[in-house]
Amino acid sequence: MSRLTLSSLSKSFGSKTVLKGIDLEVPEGSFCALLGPSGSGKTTILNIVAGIETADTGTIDLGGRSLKGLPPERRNIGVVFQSYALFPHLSVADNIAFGLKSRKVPRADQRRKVAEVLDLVGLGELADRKPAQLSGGQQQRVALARALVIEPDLLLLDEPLSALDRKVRGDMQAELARIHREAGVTTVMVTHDQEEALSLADQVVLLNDGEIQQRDTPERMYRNPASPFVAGFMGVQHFPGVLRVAEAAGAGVGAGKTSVPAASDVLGAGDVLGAGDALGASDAVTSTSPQDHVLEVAGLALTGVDIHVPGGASSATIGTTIGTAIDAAPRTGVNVTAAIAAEAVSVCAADAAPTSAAGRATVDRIVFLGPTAEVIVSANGGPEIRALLLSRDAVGLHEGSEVEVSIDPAGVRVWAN
Amino acid sequence: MNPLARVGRLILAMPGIGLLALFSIVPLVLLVVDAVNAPTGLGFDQFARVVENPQYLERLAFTLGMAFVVTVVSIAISWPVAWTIGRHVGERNRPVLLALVIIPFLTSQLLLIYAMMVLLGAKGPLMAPLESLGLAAEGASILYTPWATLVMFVYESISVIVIVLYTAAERIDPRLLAASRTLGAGQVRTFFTVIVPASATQLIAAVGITFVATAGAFAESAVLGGPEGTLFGNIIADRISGGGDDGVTAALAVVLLVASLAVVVVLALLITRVSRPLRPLTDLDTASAPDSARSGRPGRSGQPGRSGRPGPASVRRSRSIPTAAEVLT
Repeated sequence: MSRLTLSSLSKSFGSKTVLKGIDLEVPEGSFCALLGPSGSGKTTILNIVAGIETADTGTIDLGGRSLKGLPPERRNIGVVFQSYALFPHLSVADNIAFGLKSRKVPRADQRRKVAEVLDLVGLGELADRKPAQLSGGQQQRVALARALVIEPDLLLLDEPLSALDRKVRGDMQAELARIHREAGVTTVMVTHDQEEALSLADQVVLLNDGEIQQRDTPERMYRNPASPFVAGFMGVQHFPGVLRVAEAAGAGVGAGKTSVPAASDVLGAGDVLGAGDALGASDAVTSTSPQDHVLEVAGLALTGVDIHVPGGASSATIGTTIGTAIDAAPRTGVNVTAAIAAEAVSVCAADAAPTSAAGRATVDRIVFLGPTAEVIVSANGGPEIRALLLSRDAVGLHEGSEVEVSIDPAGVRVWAN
Repeated sequence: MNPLARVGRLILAMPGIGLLALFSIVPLVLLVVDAVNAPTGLGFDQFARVVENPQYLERLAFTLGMAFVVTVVSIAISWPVAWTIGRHVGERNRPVLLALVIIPFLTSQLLLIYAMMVLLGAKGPLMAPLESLGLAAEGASILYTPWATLVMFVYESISVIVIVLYTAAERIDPRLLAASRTLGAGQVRTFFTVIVPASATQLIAAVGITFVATAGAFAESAVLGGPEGTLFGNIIADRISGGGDDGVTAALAVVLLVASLAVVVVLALLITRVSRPLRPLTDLDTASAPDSARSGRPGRSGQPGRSGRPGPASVRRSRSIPTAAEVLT
């Protein structure tokens, strides 16, 4: 168990740069997920940390010792490979004992440790089987046991759940969380599945094109995505829109009195792994009162949207840019990208509309998901908007229904284009 | 399956099966019949005449020793080549390199032998520079000694072994090697605990092909080997061409065949043994139980990894490992 620190790690394959100066800190005992699309460099980071590949520049420090130049066999890092890489000619017990044998652990201790770790992953009775006789979920547990039994300083998981079918994946996800809690080992997982990352990790690092896009707690990353890319990868829909000053507030704004948020407040909000100040905590730093602005997006008009965007290091500039731009053109407005969380959108039959409604829309289709339902609507010929409702709130809605759409401003994030 | 299709397939296979039976089984049977059919009646008299002749036994030992050294040296030389082509050369360049590797295999054997004669001869392209550098005595050469035969055999074997071991090298999942390293095994340990077991089938094939071919050869030693290099095959060949085609010759041939097959079996068992963990943690009684005893277990029938693996070689391997263990334990 040790803290892992990567500093300015970079790597190129030929003319292709896959890592562009990665800085990352994983606290002792925590669970970090490297999330990103394929080709984002996440697996390369894992391979470099494991010693399977070497970085062009940068340093890796694990629990105070530099890993530079150490071959993989001397790093004491447990790796669970994608598709597990179990030795086909060895039994489950001998697969797990492999690392103990290389370490010349006495035979009696080997037996005891193998039995313990088999117990931890819940596979005690399968010790004599060959890998080919196991199901995918069982192979995955063996791979995990094999990596944990050497008592590694760091555990690396490469897409650990991607080869499993949906139901087994759910079970294994819970298992992984439990095993991580019990073993307490610092863990870095590579995944392209945001749900997997959100449910398991203390810290999510979103990579794209060899660069870190955002590094945050799962909740903050979901609620306060730093960019449209992050929002998109987190499964939050985003649209082009226009932000302008509301008709009624026009007189006041004409004087150009938009105030810029204090820099310290903004940076506080963007602090990585901050005390988890979620949603709306930074409303206070809004330039003008939110009510003064109207966000026109996807055929709807929203009021009360906070134009300051917390969650990214550069939010101060974004907030300022929007504020200044609006001051310059209060009537025509500024082109923005707006991310709207599906659960912030509510839909109800047109006759029962609340006063805060953003506009009227038509239901295009309804996807029933069990406890929840996704209602896809479009307003005034605009793009489709997804609304995530509890199933019971979707009762009575059907394709073609005329509905009133309201959107909780707290679930909306805006970026200047 | 459509029964008609089954019959059709059988008909298509018949010529091949027939030829194999005619040209391999029938002569073998005739050979054995000749060997046991002595003028004094059926029996092992002719074998006794072989075994009681110390000169024959000495040449048999020499021949088997030669075949063993050739096998080991050829594999040691070929494996790195196979590994490099299979794992460190781009897919596009591999066919070209493999084609270059098999050129000797496609060339007339007689041509190769005479080329070797020229190459190794005193004052030849190899010896002349060595001589001028003072590394070899005037007019010295290994030609007409068993060493020349050895070099020739190794040269002839390399092509085939590279191809056979290439198929093993290419198939090994790189993640298995990475897994071994991250678990604390250095490169040497990884070689013996992961690479050798994963290559066992091909290794056994390479041993079988090289050893049997070398033990039965006679042309190489006749041309290159000189009086010291006479192989068992030369004795048989001389007896046949000398017209002394009696039962003793047949007995000599049977002895050579059985002896070389026995060595191959021993080597195969050795490779299989090395491929298993030296001291498995799994309880010995279950680990070495006959395959049939284990097949009753649930889950074994649907082995996804095994049934999904292509090629007859893998099938052969999955069977041969437990059986060999049985024999040894």
